Amino acid sequence: MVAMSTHRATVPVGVIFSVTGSYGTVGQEMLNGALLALEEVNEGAEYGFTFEPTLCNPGGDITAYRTHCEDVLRNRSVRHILGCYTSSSRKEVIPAIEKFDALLWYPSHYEGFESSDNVIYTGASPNQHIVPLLRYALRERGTRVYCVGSNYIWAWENNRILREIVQACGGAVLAEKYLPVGSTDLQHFIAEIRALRPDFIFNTLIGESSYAFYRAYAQAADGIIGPGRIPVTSCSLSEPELISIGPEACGGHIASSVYFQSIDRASNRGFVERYRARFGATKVTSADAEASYVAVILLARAIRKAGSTEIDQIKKAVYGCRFEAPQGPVRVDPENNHSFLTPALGVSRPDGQFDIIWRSGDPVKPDPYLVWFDVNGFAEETGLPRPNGSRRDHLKVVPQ
Amino acid sequence: MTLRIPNFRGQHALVLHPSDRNCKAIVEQLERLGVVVQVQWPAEAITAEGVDVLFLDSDLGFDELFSWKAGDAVAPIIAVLGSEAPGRIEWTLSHEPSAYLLKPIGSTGVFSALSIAFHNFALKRMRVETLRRLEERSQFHGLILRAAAILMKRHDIDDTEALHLMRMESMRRRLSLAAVSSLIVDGKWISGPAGSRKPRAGQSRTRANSAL
Repeated sequence: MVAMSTHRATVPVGVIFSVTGSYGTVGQEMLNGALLALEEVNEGAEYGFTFEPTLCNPGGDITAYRTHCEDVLRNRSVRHILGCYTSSSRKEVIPAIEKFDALLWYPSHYEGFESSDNVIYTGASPNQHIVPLLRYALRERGTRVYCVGSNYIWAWENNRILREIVQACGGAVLAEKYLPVGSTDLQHFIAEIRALRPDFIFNTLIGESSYAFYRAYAQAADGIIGPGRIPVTSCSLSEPELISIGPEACGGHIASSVYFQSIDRASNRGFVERYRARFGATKVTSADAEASYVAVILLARAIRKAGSTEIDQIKKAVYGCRFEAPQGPVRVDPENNHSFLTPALGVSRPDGQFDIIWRSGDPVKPDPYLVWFDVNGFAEETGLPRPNGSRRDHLKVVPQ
Repeated sequence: MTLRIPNFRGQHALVLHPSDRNCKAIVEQLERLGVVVQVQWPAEAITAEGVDVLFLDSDLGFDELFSWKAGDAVAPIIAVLGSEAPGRIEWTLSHEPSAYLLKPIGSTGVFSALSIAFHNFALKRMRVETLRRLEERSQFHGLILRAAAILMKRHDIDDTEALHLMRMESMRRRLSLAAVSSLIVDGKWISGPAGSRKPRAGQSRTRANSAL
C-alpha cells in the first residue's frame, strides 16, 4: 500500500528562461509563474511527487539555449523542459528536444505556423492574439497601419499576417520597420510616424526596444501623434512591462492578450494573491507568468493522471485535463498541442494595469496555421472597407 | 506573385505510401492543415481524379502506379524519400516531383512541402504553356513574315500596319495568326486595309491608318 507512504517520487524538470538580457523582464515573469506552480505542486498534498527543477538562464544568448537544453536532457535525466520566450530560442531547442524525445512546455504567445509533437504550447496562437486585435483596431481606428518591430520571426510573421488582413480590408501598411533585438535607436521612427499619420501603430518590438519606443512616443506626443491620438497596439504588452516603461509613458496603449491581471475571476484573484505573497506585495502578474504557471500545473496534473512521466502517456493524459486557470478554463487541443484560451483586449493605464475593453465569451480553439481563418470573411465581418475618415473617437470600457 | 497565407483547407491529398509511422506522420500533419486525406497502398494505374496533390513513396514507387506517363502528372507530386540510392532518386526525378520530404517524417515539413509543391507546379504549368506558344510562333514565323510582306507591298504599308491588319482579320475570323497568314500566302484573302473589302484603286495611306 502506498497511501501512507511518506516517500514522494521526484520528477526532474528543466526550466530555461532568460532572466537577464534584453528581454529579461519577461523571462523573470515566466520564471516566477513557473516557480509559483512548482512550489504549489511540491508543497501540496494532492500530487504525491516533487518536481526537481534545474534553473537555467541563457541571458538572451541564442546559442546558450541549445547548450542548456542538451545539458539537462543528457545529464539530468530530464524529460520535460519548461522554457523559451522568443521563437528563435524555441526553434533553437526543438531539434534537441525531438532528438531526445522529450517534451517542451512552451509558455508564450507566438506567431504560429508550427505544431511539433514534442511541444505543448500554452501561450496564444495568432487566431487568439493578432486576429482579435485587428478585428478591433481596423474597425474602430482605421485601416492605415504603421508597423514597427524587432528584427526576427515574431515581428516578420505577425506583420505578414497583418499585411494580408489589412489589404483584404482595403487598407494599407504605410511602413514596416525593424530594429535589431535590444536596439533603442528609434527616434527616426517617431519622425516618420508624425509624417505619415497612420490610423494606428502595430508594435512587435520586444523588451528594451519596445519600452524605449513607448517612452519616446509618449515624449513626442503633440496635437498629431501620441497615445491619445494614434494608439500603439501590441500582442505582447504586459503589466510588468508597463512598470518598466514608467507611469508617464505607459498609458493609453492597446494590448491583445489571453490574460490581464484585471480579469475578475476567483481563480485569478487567488493567483494574484499567491503571486504577491511569494514575490512581493508590489509585484504584478502577466500573461507570461500565467502561461508558465498553467504549463506547470498541466504537466503536474498529467503526471498525476498518467502515473508516468513518459511523453506519450503525458500527452494522452494532458489532452483530458480541464483546468480553471487564472484566465478561465484552459485545455490542450489534441489536434495541434496548442491550448484553448480566451482572447481579450485591454487599454493600458498609467498605474500599470489594463482596462479590459473586450473579452471573448468562450475559450477559442487554437488555429496555429490559420487554417480556419478566412481573410475575406473577416473583411466582410468587420464591415470594411469603411467610408473615408469616419472614425470613432475614444475607447470605451465595457463590462466583461 | 502576391503573398498569401498559404491555406490548404479542403484540398484533397492522395498518399501513395504503405501505412507505417511515416505515413501516419504525413496524414496527421495534413489533417492539422485541414486537408482531406486518402491513403492508398498497394495501388496501380491511379487516375488521381479530384486529387489536388500526391504524396509518393519513392522507395517503393514504380511506373505502373500511374495512368499517365512519367512527367505528365495532373497534380503536384511530393516525393517521400527514404533510400538515397541513385536508382531510386533517378526514378523519382523521372516523375518530376514538385517538392520532397525526407524520412523519417517528424512533426514538421508537410506545410512547407505543400507550399513549395503548389508553387512549383503552377510555375511549371505556366512555363509549359509559354513554351508551347513560343514554339508555335517560331514554327510559323516564316509564314507570317511572308504574309506580312505581301500586304506591305500590296497596300504600301509598313510591317507594323501589315501585322495589325492580320491580327484584326485573325480576330474577326477567329483563326490563329498562322492560319490567316496561310490564307494570304495562298491568295485566299486579298481584302484591303479597311477590313474585308477589296481595296479600291488609289486608296491613300491616310485611309489605311484611319482604319487601324
